[in-house]
Amino acid sequence: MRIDLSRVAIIARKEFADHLTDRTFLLVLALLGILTLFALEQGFASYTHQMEQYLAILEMTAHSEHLTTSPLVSSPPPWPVLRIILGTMGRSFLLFSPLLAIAVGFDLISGERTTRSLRTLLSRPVYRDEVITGKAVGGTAVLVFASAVPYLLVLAGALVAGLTVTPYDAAIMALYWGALVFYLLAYFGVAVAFSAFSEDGGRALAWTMAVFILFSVIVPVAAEDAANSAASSYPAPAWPGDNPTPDEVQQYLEERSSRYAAYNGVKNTILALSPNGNYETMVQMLTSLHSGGGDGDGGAVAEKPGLEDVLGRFWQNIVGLVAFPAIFLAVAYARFMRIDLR
Amino acid sequence: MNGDKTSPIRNNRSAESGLLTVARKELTDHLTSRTFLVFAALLVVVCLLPFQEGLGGYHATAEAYAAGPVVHPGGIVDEFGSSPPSAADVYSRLPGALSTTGAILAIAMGFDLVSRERQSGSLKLLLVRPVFRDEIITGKALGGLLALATLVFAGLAVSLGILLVDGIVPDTDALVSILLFALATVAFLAFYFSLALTISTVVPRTGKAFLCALVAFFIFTALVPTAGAVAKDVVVGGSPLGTSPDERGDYQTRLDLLNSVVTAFSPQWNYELVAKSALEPRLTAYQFLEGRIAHLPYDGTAHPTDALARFWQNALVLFTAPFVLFGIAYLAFQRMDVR
Repeated sequence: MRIDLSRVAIIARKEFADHLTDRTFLLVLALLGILTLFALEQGFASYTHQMEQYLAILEMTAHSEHLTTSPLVSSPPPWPVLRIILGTMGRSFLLFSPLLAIAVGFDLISGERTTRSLRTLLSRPVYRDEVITGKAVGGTAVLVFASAVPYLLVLAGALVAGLTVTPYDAAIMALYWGALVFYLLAYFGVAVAFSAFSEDGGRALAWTMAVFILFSVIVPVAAEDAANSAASSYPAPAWPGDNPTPDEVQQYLEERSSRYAAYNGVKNTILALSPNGNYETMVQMLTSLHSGGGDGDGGAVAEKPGLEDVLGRFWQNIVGLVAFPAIFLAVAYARFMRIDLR
Repeated sequence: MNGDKTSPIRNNRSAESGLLTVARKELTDHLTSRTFLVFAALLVVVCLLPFQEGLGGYHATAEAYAAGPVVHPGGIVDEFGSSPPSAADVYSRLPGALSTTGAILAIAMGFDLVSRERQSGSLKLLLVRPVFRDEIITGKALGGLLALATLVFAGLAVSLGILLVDGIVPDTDALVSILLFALATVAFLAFYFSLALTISTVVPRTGKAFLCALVAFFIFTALVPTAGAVAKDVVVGGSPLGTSPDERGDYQTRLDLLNSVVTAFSPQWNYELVAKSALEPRLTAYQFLEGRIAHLPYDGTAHPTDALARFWQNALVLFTAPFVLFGIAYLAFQRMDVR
């Protein structure tokens, strides 16, 4: 038996329109927009500040006798202001964007059960799996749309402020957006799963928040703890005396790097289990990518290997970020198929 | 009159017993609710590591103090180890750690108190009984507050036990400090509980009520601090380096004013400030926008409430805000149309 896509599309379209006209959803979206505007303001303020300092230094060096070999002058004006803005946004979205996904997901099934409209819906000629698929597709579409809004705001702000947005910058911005979409989908999946299990929207939301606290507060601490205990099996090397031979320094550096490798390996593996950890790692990766590639005019040479190399290094985070929503949506699907409606 | 304690239901003619019945029923409901227990467990887990670090810090300070003060060349005495550790220091990392989880716990307790009774229709049944409306809402608030206090003071008792097992005996001043910290924690949790209760009275559906409470939490946690940071740029301006002392003093005054306004409007920061000043009587400045902390030098004369007296406005806001919110919930509940 195959799914009739037209019926899925009808449900998805209705869900999309419902969410987009929902006042609470629009309120949360507006709050995220305000956070973005604040990040823009702060980024441009720091840019202006840097520019003033740069001009002051230029003026000072112009009056002095020495030639302009000072290291302060050697950094030219195009500071990565976009990187600062996007990094700030990524950090504030880490804690607050899940609210958007949860607002979309928590009432998807439980709301219809509370108001008893689900029975009416299922008495129509439509299969259960089409209902849940349509709802998931509609919710995903609205999240993809909503998460683009802050980045479009940044783009508009940058263009209005007269910044040059290179194709490379745009690609990085698209990657930030992609990471945010998957992060939102993760909590959307959790919210839908609990919505399928709980008959009441409030309960579903409470359990979703418990999962959120687990992943945003407890898992990072546990990861840190486990990484510390893993690293403690490699004793911290002591700096070899006052006049070390090159061999001793080499040995010290090797011991230190193997300790860090053990620490980071354990920490990253545990964080890859949590959407927050994955999203944070991705944002950090993109921020470092931006500073490496988009800095100055020589960026075009360095960008391509950088991107592939870094994406290769963080493949577990990407897999985790994709697998997490998939698992929870699958749970929601299975549960919805077997739900007892009486 | 003996029947007052054993069967308060029969005595429902007096106003007080109706209130106590509702409060007792709410308290048992909270303490046996699965959501409450899960969030309480999460809260305990969140507090474990900061507490453990606090214990480590206490022992490190005690060792450094026993070894005697470190005097650097030039006569500068190292701050670390120059004063004996206080048992209250063990708790100093907790306020920052527990605020988010605690707020969500309090919201999860309050969001469905009225809205669920309305949604399931039990409110109508409750109101046909000989119990006044104000007894119901006050009893619900009281029951929730008692549950929060039970949680906080149970945690406090366990942590004091751990302190004693670890060989740390708090003196009277430290005990008073720790007790004030616990009271501040209850007040902070009561703020979000009252907020959720108010929203629950206004919003008829449970899910919507929780979501609205989370949006309010989001505004207080994310928007107020960020707006403060932006206001620092716009209102206060850049730091006037190398200008006259008058201008610098003016700048500092504006910055202090902005800091105190933003702190009063952000429940988390306000709580953190009051809790820190309860635990550390020598605190003179704790500015979130700048990340600046200032202490008085140690001279052994500080009393537990010194810093609280310095930040009395913040303490006042922390302890009165829950009552204001409860007042709104009370009014809304009195005028609610139940059909």
